[in-house]
Amino acid sequence: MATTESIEKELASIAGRREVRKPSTDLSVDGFAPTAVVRPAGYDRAASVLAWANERGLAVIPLGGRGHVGRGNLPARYDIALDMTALDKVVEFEPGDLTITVQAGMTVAGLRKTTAASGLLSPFDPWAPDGATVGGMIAAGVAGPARISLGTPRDFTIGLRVATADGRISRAGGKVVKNVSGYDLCKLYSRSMGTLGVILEASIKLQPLPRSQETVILDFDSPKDACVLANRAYTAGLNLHAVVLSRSEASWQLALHLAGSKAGVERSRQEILRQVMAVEGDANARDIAGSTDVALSLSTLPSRLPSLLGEMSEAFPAAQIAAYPTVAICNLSGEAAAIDISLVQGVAAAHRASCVVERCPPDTKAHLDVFGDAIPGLDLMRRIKQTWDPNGTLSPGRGPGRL
Amino acid sequence: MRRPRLIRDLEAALGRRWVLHEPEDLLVYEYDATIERSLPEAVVLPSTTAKVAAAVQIARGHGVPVTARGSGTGLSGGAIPCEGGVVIVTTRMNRILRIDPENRLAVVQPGVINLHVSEAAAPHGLYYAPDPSSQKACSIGGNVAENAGGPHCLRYGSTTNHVLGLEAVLADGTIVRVGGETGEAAGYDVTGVIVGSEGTLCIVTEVTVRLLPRPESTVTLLAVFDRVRQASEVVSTVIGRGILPAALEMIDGNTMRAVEPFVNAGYPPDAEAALLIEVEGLREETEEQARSVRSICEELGAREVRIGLSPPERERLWAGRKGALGALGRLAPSYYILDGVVPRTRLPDVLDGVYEACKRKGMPVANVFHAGDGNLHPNLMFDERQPDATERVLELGEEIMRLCLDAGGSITGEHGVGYEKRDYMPLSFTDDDLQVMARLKTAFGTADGFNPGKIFPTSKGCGEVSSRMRKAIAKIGEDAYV
Repeated sequence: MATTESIEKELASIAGRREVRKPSTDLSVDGFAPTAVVRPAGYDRAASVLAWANERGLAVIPLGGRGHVGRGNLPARYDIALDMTALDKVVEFEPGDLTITVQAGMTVAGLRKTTAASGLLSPFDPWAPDGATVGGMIAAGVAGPARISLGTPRDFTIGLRVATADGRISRAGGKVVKNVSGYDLCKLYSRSMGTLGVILEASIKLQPLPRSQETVILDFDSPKDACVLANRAYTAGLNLHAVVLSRSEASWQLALHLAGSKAGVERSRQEILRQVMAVEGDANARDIAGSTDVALSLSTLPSRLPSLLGEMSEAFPAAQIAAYPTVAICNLSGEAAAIDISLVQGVAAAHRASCVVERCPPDTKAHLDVFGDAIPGLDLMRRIKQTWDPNGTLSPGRGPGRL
Repeated sequence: MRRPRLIRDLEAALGRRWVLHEPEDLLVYEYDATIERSLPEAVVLPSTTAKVAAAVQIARGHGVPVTARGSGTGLSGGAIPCEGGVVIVTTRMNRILRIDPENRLAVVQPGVINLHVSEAAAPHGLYYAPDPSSQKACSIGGNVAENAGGPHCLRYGSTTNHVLGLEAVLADGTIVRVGGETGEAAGYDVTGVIVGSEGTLCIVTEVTVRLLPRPESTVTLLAVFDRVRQASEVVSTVIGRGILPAALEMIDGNTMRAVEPFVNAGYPPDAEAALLIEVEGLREETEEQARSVRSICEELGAREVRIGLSPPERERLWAGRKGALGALGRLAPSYYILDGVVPRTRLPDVLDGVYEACKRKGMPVANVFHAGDGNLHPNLMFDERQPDATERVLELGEEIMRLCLDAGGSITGEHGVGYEKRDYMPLSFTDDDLQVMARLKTAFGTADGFNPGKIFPTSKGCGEVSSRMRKAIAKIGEDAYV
C-alpha cells in the first residue's frame, strides 16, 4: 500500500506541486476522508490524474461546491479528492446565441451574474448558488422549484467535455441548441454522480430574463386543494416560473413565483387570486434546507401527490415537507430522529412513488441503496458503469445500485 | 444469399402472413426518405413486444443484423436495411395504450403516428409538442430513434425533452423498461441515451410521453423581405430582445417562387425571404410579443407583415411553409435536403456562404428552415441524369456541412446521422469522442446486431450500401419531409 507521502509526490509530478494539497476534512464524503487532494488548473491535468489513479487502482471523487455531496451511496473507496473549483472560467459566451460554455467549477452565482449582465437567465436553480458549481449541478442532476419552467440539467445541457477514467478527454453534444450528431452522452453524464466521468466543461442553453416577476403565497388547509390549484394554474398556461408547496404549523403554504411580461404576470396573479383568498408577500419558500440530517425526495404522479402528502404529513409531524405539485415531487427533511427512512420508503411504495434518499447519516446509509431497491434498467446501468470505468476508479460505490 | 431457415424460423414465431421475403414484397422496404437503397432478406411485422423479442432472437441466432423501421420517413437513412438483414416494422404496433390527462402523459406503441397522439390528447386540452413536418406520417418510434425535432422545438425542445420512459428489446432479446412516468427515475438517464440512438442500441416497443397544455393564444406573423440578410437579422434581433417564439421559420425566394403557383400564399415574386413567426402563451403576452415582432420586422426593412389570429388565418400563413417541399419537387427532377445547425448569430454569414457555394457550383438551392434554432435545411435541386450532378451534390453537401462546423455548429439538428452523414462524424468529433460514444454499444451488448453501419464512420457490416452512395442519388419522392 502506498503511503500518503508517496501518493502526494506522484500526484505533484502529474498535476503540478501547487495543485496538490493536504487532505482536509471539508473534502470528506459521508465521513470518508481522501488520502490526497488535487485541484487541477487545466483539463489535461485533471485527465492525467484520472489516468494515473486508474493505473494505480486508486479511487477518485470529483467535487464541486459540495452542496449536494450528500447525494449518492456510500463511497466504496476514496483516495483522491479531485477539487474542480479552480476551473471556473467562461469559455465562450455569445449572448445572441442564448448559449454559454463554461468550465465545470464555475459557480452558479458566477454564471448568473455573467448571463444576467446580458439579459439572460441561467437555468440552474440551486438552494445555494454561491457554492454550487455547474459541473456539480449537472453531475448530481439538481433542480429546484423552477424546474416547472426551466427543466432539469438534462434538459438544458447541450454539450459536455468530460474526462473518463482512462484519462481520455472527450466531447458530447456541442454548442448549438439543436443537435443529434451521435449518441447524446450529455444525458448519461447528467445525474451520474461522477461515477462515469468528470465533467470539465459544459455548454448550457439560456433563456431571456423575464421582464416582470412576482411571488404569490397562498395558505391552504389541505395539500389537496393546493395541488389542485397549482395544476390548474399550470394547465391554464399561467406564467409559473417556480412552484413549491410547503407545510407550515397549521396549514399548507403554496408559493407561486410568476415571471414573464408585465401583463402576463398581472393576468396570472389575477387568475390565481380569483380562485382563492391570498396573502401576498416576499416569502420565498424553497427547496429542502441543507442543514438537516435527513432528506428524501419522492417522485410520483400529480394525481397521487395529494394523498402522498397527506400521509407523509400525518406520519412525520416533525419533518419539513416541501413539494412541487405540478411535477409531483415531495421533499421530506428533518432530524434523523424525526424521520424513519424505511417508513418513508414504505409510504412511497404504497403510492407507487420512487424514493431517493438525498442525505442521511453515513451509518444509516451503509444499510441502504439511497436510490431505492427497484431501479428500472439497473442491469443496463451496471453494464454502462462496467464499460466506462472497469477498474472502479470514479466515485466507486456512489452510483445507483452502488455502482 | 437466401436463408430459407431464417424465413422458416421467423414464420414459425410470427405467423406466415407477417413475414415478407419475396423480392417484390421486400422492394417497398429497401428505402426511406433518403437516397439510398438496400434489400433486406426478410421483413417482419410483429404486433407485440414479445414478437419483436422473438424476431430479434431468431435474427441473432442466424447471425443476421436487424433494422427497426417505423413509417420510413427518415431523412438520414436510419431505416435503410442491411443487405441480407431483417427489418422489424412497427406499423402494426400502432395503439395508443393510455392517455392520462390528469398526469399529462400518454403511453403509446412505437408505430403510433405522431399527429395521432396530439389528436387523442386534444379533447383534454393537451398535445404532444414535437412536430416534425412529417407528423401526419412519421411514427413515435422513429421520432424516438432520431430524436426528431420540428418547427416548435425552438420553444419546447426536441423529442428527448418529452420522453419519460421506454420499453425496449435488447440485442439478446431481453425486454427492459427504463425511465418511468414521472421523468424523475432514479439512476443513470438510460432513456436519454436511447432517444436519438438511431436504432443501434435497442428496439423501442413502448413509449411514455409527456403532454403539454394547449396555450391559450397563438399568433402567427408572416413578414416578407427583399433580402435574405434582412430576414436573418430579424431572427437574431427578435431573440436578442428577449422574445422566444414558439416557432421561427424562414422561407427563401426560390422556395416562395416554387410554392406560389400551387399554394397561392400571396408571396410577391420579387421577394427574397419570408419569416413565419409564431408566438404562444397568454393572450396579453402574445398580443404584446406580436406587436414587438412586427415592429422589429418593420424596423429591419420588411416590405409587408401579415398577422394571423384565428386558426384558418394562421393555417393560410403556414400553407406556404408546409407545402414548400412538395412544390420544390416540381422545379427539378431530384432534390437533396441537408440538415445543419449553426449558432443563431452566425446565421446571416453562413446563409451567405451557402448561397455563394451553390452559385459557384451552379446548383440551384432553396432554403426553407428552422431559423430560430439556427437549423438550416438547404435543398439542392438537380437532375441526376446529368453526368456529374451527383458528384456536385455530394461535394456541395460536404462543403455546407463544413461551413456549419466552422461556425461552431453541428452536422445534424434533427434528421440524424444514419448512413448519410456517418462519414462527416470525424469532422465533428475526435477519435476519442467517437470511441467513448461507441462504448454505449458495448454496454448494450449490441455489437453489429442492431442497425450496423449507422452513425459511426467505420463501415462494418454494411459497406456495400455505403459504396452505393455515390451512384445512388436517385429519385427522392416529392413527399420528402423536413
